[in-house]
Amino acid sequence: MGNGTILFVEDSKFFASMVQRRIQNELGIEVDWKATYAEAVKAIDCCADDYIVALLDLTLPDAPNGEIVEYALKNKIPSIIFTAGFDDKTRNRFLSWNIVDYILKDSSTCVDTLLHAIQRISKNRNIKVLVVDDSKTMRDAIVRLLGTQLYEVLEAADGLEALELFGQNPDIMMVITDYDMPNMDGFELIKTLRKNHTKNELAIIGMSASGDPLLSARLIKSGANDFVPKPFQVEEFHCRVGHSIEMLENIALIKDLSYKDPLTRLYNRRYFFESADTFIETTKQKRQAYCVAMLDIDHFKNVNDTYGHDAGDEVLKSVSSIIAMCFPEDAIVSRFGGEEFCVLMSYAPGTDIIAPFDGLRESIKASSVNVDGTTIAVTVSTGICCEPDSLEAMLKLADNRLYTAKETGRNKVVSKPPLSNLRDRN
Amino acid sequence: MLDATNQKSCNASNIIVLETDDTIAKRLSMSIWAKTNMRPHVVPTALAGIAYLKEQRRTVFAASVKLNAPEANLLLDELTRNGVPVVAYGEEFNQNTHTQYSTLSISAFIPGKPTGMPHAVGEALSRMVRNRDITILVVDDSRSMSSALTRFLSTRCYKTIKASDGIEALKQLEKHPEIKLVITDNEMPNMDGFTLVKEIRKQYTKDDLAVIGMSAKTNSMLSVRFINNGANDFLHKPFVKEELFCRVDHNVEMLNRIEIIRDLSNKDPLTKLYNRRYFFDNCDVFIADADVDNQSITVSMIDIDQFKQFNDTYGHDVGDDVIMSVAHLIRSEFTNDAIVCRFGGEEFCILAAHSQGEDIFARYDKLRRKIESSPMDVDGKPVTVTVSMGVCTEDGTITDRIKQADSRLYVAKETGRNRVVMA
Repeated sequence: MGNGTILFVEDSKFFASMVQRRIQNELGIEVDWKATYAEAVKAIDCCADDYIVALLDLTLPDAPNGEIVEYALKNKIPSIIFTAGFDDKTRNRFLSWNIVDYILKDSSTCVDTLLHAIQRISKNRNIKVLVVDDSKTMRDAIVRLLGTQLYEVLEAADGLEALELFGQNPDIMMVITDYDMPNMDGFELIKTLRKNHTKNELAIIGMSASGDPLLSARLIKSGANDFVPKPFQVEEFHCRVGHSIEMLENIALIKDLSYKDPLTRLYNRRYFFESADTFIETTKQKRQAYCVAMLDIDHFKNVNDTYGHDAGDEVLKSVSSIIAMCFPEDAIVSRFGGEEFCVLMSYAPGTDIIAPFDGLRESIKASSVNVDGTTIAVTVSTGICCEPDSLEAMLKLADNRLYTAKETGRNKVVSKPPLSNLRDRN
Repeated sequence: MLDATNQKSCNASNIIVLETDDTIAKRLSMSIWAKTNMRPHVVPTALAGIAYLKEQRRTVFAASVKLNAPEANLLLDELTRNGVPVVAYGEEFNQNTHTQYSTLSISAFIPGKPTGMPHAVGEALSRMVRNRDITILVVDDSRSMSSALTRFLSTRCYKTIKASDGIEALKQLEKHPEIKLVITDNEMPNMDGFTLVKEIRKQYTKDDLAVIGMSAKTNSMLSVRFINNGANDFLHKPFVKEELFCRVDHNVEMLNRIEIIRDLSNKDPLTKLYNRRYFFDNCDVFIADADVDNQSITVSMIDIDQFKQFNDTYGHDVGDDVIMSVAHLIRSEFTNDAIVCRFGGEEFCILAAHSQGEDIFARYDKLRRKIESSPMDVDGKPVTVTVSMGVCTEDGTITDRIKQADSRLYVAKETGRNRVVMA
């Protein structure tokens, strides 16, 4: 969503400043507040492209009938409407507009709902949804609804076409499918997709018909995450879609949080051990060599004791980012605990593997961490093992060499036996 | 009122497995054991299953039944009569099977081929085990509706509580803070469903308490209004069992995941104590609350004595065990009235509230003695662990208080370790 601004048109100063404050504090997005229709129109005329979303009060003193909504939509600004009054007529008007959402001002959760909606649409631009239905009318309606929420939408007219599109776009996060279609129906499609994608990786919503309750049950049994009976209300549809997307996001977040160290964002020990075997297997298949390195920050306890834990954390973050940048993306760079790091990396046989580690040692020595005006110097010791063996044995060897590096003066890389021997052995 | 249906079986720990094929039975048993930690009891015939059930009723938690095994129906009837939830497989899901089995206590129906079946059965059973800790409030003035709902929910081992209108629902929520999910009808005397949702949302966010509103298919505007008023989800009446389970499971899982995410971001993975970030984000509110209650505040720094020796002598794994054990002991002494946090390494920090007249030194010294007298088991040998503590009782900013506690911790270390320094 970039660094755009939110346009906020609202005549109540009290409400406006509260919402403005919360958006800026909790989402870190700038808010441009306008109190009247005239001011807002001027702002849109000048800078429509700067606004990522508009929050619009339906009734303004100089435009009591939602004129501002039509103006914002005409200028293609995604819009969320605030409304105090709500009845069928108002709602029908909302549904005729391509708005992101509407929010009732009188509910105690309205600002929470608003913040949630803003976050939602800022993520949606990167989410691909595939809509599968043989009825063009139905497809158009669904595509339009997803479009109001800024999802990236793909369309298919039956199961076969859907599978083809899926092959071309493996990053599709959600499939919304009808059940009754020519060539390949929804049940078949769901079963086929489920062979390679679990419910936690790909969300599938089946569209059933409300006349036959068993359809929803059958869709779920085939492997759909959820179902929406046709006909549906727009709000119901968004509720279902939003839940499924959030489920996937939460699962991904949990994975990320449980595999990464929160302080340094490096992988943790658990991830290292869970993925090391696969890494080594792939490396061998590619006929590449691999090595394990243990790194430890020198005299780290002194840093904590002298400058405090916050300074210690800064040092860890700084060293981690230097280590992370030093290795190819496929290397497993992990924080093992405390001030200890472990790297598992592959390399072309015969290349000098000591050099990059020595370069890393140099860059860490050359860097310094500034905490509250004090400059803290940092060095690391490294032990490397390149002799192929069990992972456990290699780690042990690397650890022993790290110990040697510490014992013989720190700030050094130890990797016995030298590379030339290794080459002879291969 | 806590619904008693199935409560008995949901506390037991045996699972009946009706499967005629030895190989499949073995795979099923392994999956069940791995996922639930419950004992699978394989019966080759339905009659053997019935006999086992008669003998062991109290210990049977659930059953896994192959629907196309001979006389499987007899066992299913018996299980249903005894209120034992069943995970069923072995047939396709269609109108026929649905009608045939809809009245039985089938909790999950796994259609399709046996390749993924043992895994799916294990998953379904493990979900039931987890559900035992989840309480759902069912709000409906129609007795028959709420009985049907609670019966369905109990086949999945959810705990249920009933209320007949919004007012009673709010009372039950106050009485049972463990309630995770509310399923409510709209039209009820005294307080209707919409009002109930609005009232609930004044106190609980969507991430803390989920609400599912029930609406009639004939008027889907009801679900729109439920959503607009703050319900997490909606369910059209009439519904089939699978629709209900889909809704309930989704919402329960959503809350579970949010809790996991909070824990992962706020807690230290090793000790499950709060991390430094949580500590600093929440200390101000904690202190303000204690002030309101007229309680006094202490901040203490705790450090394991000569910890480096454990690591160097016995290795990191033993070091981790020592940290976990100390963390556990600290938490056993400081529970609700404190934020207990692992500051890093072998260092802990407690922010605690104390009632007037409490002997603060005695409380910390009790913890110190408890740690000293709980030796660690290292390769069969007892190893004593001690801690030093610095306690700050004075007022001040959180940084000042920590500094003060830290310098007293230093004094404790310098004057011989295994002691509490409070002044």
